Amino acid sequence: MNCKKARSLLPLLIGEDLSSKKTKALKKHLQSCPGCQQELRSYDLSLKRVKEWLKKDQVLWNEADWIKAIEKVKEQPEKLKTFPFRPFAPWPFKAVWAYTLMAVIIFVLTIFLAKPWLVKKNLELVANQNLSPSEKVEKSPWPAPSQDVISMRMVSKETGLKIIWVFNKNFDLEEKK
Amino acid sequence: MKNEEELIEEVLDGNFDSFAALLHPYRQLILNIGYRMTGNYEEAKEISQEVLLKIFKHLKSFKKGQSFKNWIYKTTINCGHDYLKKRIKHLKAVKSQEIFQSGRETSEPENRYLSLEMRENINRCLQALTPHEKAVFLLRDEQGLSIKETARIVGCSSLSVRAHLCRARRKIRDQFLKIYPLHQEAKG
Repeated sequence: MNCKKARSLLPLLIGEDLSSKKTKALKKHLQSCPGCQQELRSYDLSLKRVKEWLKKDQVLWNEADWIKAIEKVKEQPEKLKTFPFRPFAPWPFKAVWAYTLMAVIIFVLTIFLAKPWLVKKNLELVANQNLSPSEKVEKSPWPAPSQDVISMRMVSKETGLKIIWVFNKNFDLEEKK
Repeated sequence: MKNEEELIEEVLDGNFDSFAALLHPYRQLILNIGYRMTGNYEEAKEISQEVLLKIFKHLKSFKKGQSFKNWIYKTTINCGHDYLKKRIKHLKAVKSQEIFQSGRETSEPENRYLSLEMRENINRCLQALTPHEKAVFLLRDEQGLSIKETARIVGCSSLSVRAHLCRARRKIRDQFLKIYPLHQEAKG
């Protein structure tokens, strides 16, 4: 172990926060390095002294202040009673709830606003299931043909001759006027 | 004498007197962590008040079998962090020396005998640390918790706690050598 590595581990050695393997290696280095030993002493001294100071410098909460603080907490339930149900503020998942709600709203809007025909068609299909077979034919889910006359056109590639057939709604050939 | 679990049950059933009894043993601990984080007695009391409110509000979420003391540590550290964030925003102009002056004036009579020099030294050492380093240092070196417990309270890995602790101790050593340069001369 070199001095750079050893000095980086010294603060942890002071508090015995190193693994036994590293502690052994570090102690071995310290035996042969007076510079690092000096560094270790400075860490040791500073930490011991600061700990002593912290131990001596303790603040106390006197009974009167403590009672006051507890009384303040006692007032809290009455405040909460005015807002007993707060579904959108379940700490600490506030953000999760908000995002979930937003996603649900967007999903519903997409279905009902962007594709209203899909909903309408599905409703008609469901209604048609309850009808008799004869009614089903009449009330087809598909829109009724709007034209009475259908025409068919054939064009010969070789001669360019065009033949047009015109049928009425009963699929009978209709004479062209 | 009722144990903690019984007292918690009673508080949840609506007996408020049990709340005071439950937290009475931890009151100095809460106040002292707040004091270390801010360096001011009045601000420490504000943090402690906030901690009491939070504990009362979220006592339902406390799981049985968990360490209540560690839960208090965690709540206090989090409240301290929140308070420091607010203070940085609103009181940027206030110098730490002024804060400490007000702290001394309002502190308890029992503590008034403590030397001014010692408090200033503590202040100088702790002011050099970031809030996270301060929390790790206080839990490990002042409260004597293990690395694992500290990691659980602070909410990071043991490795991260070691790194923060290492940095904190180094900064404290540097501050200490600035206060007592004789040791530095001896070192060189």
